[in-house]
Amino acid sequence: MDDFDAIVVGAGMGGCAAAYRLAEKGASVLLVDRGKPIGSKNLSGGVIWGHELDDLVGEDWYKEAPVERPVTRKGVHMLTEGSDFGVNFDRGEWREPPHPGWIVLRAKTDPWFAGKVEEQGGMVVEGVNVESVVFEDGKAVGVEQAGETIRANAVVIADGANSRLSIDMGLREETDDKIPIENAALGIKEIVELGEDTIDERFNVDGSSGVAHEYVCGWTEGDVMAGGFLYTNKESISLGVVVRVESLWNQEKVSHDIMEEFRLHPSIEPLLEGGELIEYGAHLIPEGGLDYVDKRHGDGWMLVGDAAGFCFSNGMVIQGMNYAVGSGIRAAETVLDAKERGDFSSKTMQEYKRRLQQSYIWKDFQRFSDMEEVVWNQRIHHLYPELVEGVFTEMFTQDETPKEKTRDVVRNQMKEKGVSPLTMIKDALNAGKNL
Amino acid sequence: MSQQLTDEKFDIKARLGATSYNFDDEEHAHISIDPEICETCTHRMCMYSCPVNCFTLVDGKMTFQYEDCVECGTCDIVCTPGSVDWNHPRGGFGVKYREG
Repeated sequence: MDDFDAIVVGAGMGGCAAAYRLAEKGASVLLVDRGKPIGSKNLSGGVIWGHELDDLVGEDWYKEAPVERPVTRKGVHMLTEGSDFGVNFDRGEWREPPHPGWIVLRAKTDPWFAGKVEEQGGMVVEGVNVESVVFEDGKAVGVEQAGETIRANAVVIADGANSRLSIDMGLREETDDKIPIENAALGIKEIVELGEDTIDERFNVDGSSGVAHEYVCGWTEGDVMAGGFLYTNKESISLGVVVRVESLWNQEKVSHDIMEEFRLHPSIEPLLEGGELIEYGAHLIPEGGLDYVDKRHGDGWMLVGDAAGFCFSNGMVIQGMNYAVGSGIRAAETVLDAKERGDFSSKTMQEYKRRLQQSYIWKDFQRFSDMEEVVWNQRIHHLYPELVEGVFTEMFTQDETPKEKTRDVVRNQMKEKGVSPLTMIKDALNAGKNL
Repeated sequence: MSQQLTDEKFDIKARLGATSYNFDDEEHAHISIDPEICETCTHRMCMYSCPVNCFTLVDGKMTFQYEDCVECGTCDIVCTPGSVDWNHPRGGFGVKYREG
């Protein structure tokens, strides 16, 4: 006799979404998380893009959920040591719902989401670190902790970027049981409290608007590649960097110093004046895409969210929560199907993959695999920011000498920085194709 | 405890003062290292990548301080195979984000 139709391990966005859909449709579900309280282990950059939660919980979800601000303005910037070249996109339509994304703080949002699971009749347990998935005859039949087994027809594994469960199951076997270093970025984040009025004034927003800025950290020395972000919460700023772990190799550069350099950049520091640091944290960002794990389903189990590698960052865009919710919903629907058929074998579980393949999720990740080369390259992270700085400095600095034509300024700067026109055209074409 | 920011560089350990934890006893430390394998390491990537500076050389020997760890998992992917035994803390212990 099974204790539950499904056990979901991990109460992040993916796990909560799966458990919510299961409970909502009348399946018996246990959602278990190692954090106490729920949410205390969860950290992300801070924007949930897209509308997965509208579809799952209802389009008014943000009215009851502890959210910070909607994204109504988006900025993309290239920073060099002393300059900031940025593009702001202020779309009038974004000021009204549906907004393109919501800025959230996970330690506040996720307890609400887990509470919604309980509201639908699911059972939620906090502070329990599931040690392993229990298998009988090759089929997952439950989970184990401290020698005790809880049984279920299906196990949804949503234990995050450092998914110990999938590592123990050998799903990353070929890579020495680890995320290959080239498939990981390290996110470091600081929460700086400023107060609501100061944020409204400084960022030209109000209670119903907010900004999300992404940065290319072009000042970093050597080969180090990093991106930065700044999001307006209600009363604080989420400030952080995403460092390509591989690029730290042989660079004599310390990850948390990059965070500090970003905070003290002449374009960032004034925005934080008078602020207080109220939290510092870090989180690994899986970037392996579709090849991240060998498989995402088997007899009686499925992987969702970060554990499945459904996370993407390139220093200009960071997305993960939408894919987590989206994959969680599709895993839940697969369990519901299996329950109806009375078959939880991989024959039914493979429907999960089919559902993913038919959705935007799979298509996005297929596209991202080409894009990685476009955005994590030295030209984007070092050469072009310097080029842009050189061109604009030349064009706008009045030094009593006759101005060159813009075309000549660009050409001279390209020559000076050693940028080949053909490479630049190729990069631009690739970016246009993939971004 | 929150930390007033200035335009000066801020030490990592001072920044960590803003983060909450529920410390477990040392016998339940979730991560341990094998200093002998660390001795054979040629790159010391742990020291460059750990976002909270948990890895330090003391008299030429690698040491790991588990209390400040925010459980990001970076050391597990950069370190020489076998040198880091990486686990989650026991349920309810370790870093305790209030913002996230």
